[in-house]
Amino acid sequence: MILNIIQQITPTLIGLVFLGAVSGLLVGSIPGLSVTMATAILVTVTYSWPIENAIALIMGLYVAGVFSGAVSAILINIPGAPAAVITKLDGFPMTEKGEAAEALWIATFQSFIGSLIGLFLLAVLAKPITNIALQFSPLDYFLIAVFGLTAVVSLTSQDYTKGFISAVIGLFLSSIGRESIMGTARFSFGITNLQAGISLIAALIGLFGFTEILTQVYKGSYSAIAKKAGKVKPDFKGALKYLPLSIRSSIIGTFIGALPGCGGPVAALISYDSAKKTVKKPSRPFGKGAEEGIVASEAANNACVGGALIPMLTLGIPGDAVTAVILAAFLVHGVSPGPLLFSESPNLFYLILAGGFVGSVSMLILGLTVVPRLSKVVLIPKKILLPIVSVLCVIGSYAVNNSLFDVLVMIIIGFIGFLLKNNNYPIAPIVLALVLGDIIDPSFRRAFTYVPSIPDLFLSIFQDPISLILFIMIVVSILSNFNFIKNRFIK
Amino acid sequence: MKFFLNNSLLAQGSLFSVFSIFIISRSVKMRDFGTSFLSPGLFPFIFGVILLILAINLIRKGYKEFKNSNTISKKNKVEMKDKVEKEITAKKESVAETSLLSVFLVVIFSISYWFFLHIFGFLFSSFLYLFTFMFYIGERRLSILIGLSFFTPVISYLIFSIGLGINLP
Repeated sequence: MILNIIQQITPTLIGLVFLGAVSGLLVGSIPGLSVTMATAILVTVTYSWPIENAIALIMGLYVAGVFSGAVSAILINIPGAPAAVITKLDGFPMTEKGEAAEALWIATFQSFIGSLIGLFLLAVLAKPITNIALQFSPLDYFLIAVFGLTAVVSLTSQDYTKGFISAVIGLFLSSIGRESIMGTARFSFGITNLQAGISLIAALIGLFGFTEILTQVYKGSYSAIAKKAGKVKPDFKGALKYLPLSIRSSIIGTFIGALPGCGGPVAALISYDSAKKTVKKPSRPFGKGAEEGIVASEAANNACVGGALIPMLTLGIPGDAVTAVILAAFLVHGVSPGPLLFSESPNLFYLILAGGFVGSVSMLILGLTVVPRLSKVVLIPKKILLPIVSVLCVIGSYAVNNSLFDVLVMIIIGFIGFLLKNNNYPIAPIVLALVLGDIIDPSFRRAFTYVPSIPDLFLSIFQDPISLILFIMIVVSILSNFNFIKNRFIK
Repeated sequence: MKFFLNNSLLAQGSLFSVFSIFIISRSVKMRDFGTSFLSPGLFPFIFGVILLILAINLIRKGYKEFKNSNTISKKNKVEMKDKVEKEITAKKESVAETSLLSVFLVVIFSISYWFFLHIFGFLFSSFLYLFTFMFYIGERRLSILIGLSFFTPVISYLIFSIGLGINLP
């Protein structure tokens, strides 16, 4: 496997991954510009490229983008990405104490360690998981997609009802257009453009990009906060003393990332919580500039990169919003991730690993050289940034199908996303439901064709161990949101 | 009407129940193909019903909130008066910072931009859009307004259309 990965590392791959990493670093460190949005735009830029080049660029952006959310979190107390929310708890207090350079160095190095461990676990675990996935029936696919939805709803929203409503809106959007089994047009209202369905990329750009622009306009805060980081001083010896904690946090991050619907924020939160309980003598109290807090958060959220790719590559189910966009990139290039990926296009798997490893090294180099200068990019006033980003959103949504209709879809979905977000409806379940809807609907109907009646379908869940495990996971995921269960078992 | 407007959960629940009824009514009309299991309307029907249940739950929560707020105001009118006054002041302050009208205007700018893309194409429409958007959200320096409105579409065109071979409107 190592040889196969090394074979993929060419000067072109290194160049493209590095270019992606630079973009990821710039985008991820600017609050309001998400890695998901940048990836979605990149998919549209690269859709005419060979898939190898497109994946290389996207992997660089993904790995560096997840890390770079920590930059603005540490410097200005605004996480550049949701995954960096936990990092700011200890990162910004360090900046306030004049230790921004140290905090940035810890975040850079721990993100590097986390990414490497996550990718290593992806390399080791992906094939065994694929072997299990090959035994999946349509019913299992239906159940695992439903589990993905219930998991993302319970973890991304405080109000379970609102989270589920978001998911149903995503399912509705995914059902627009001709369905895959009978070819019947659903909810297209006689509009020809809608018969092809809602463009996933347009919807993603609308929900993450345009929604964010409208949210910033609503808040009316267009200025930038001025703070400088100074110079990063690499201290490898000091960083290595946290190795046991970073390995543990990375393992937590990988496994949380591998759960469909979970992502960096959840992984960082659980890892931080675990560090808080187990580290007896932190450098400072947690929440007041503890270096261990940054270690736990950054190692975990970067390990999620490898973890989130496991269900995407093995089951075709995205682990988080970015992998949902990467999944779209695969589909745009005519490759369907899933159990057959390893037999049909094994090189793509090695390419992703190679891209991830090169991306991690690029991230470390950029973290040491560019990050201190990035504070200047963070200083760009939003009144300049927002209009430029909205033009990029228009270009991104147009480019996939050369369709101005998709631009309109992006604007409308962005506005709906803004209304929902401002009424505390989470956006992540809409996106995941949009992707998972294409699995849930046909799998559910195919599962029905194997059995004579509804009771038989229900009984078949209990006859197959995989179906039974998935069914239990769904039930637990749903029940864990009820207060009486929480009070009795969780607290 | 006032009952609904004062409680956003009730309004949201009502809106989603109307939407769910629309989904259910459309899905039952979809062709059956002999067996209801294979009907293209089955999946929308199921999530339509789920949405209806969730919407009813929202209405229930909204009604509960409405009922609680009424009970509290009857019991502790004096205590609540101070609290409400504080809340109103805080709301006024937050309204100064936020504006739904701005959002509507940006959406209108964007839809106009989409409309102009059909007529004038990417370069000129983007110039107009960027200039208007930046001016509206507070940029007043003419050099920045004209410079960025001109160079952003031109550079985007050079990168995307000429450099990457992506067609622009």
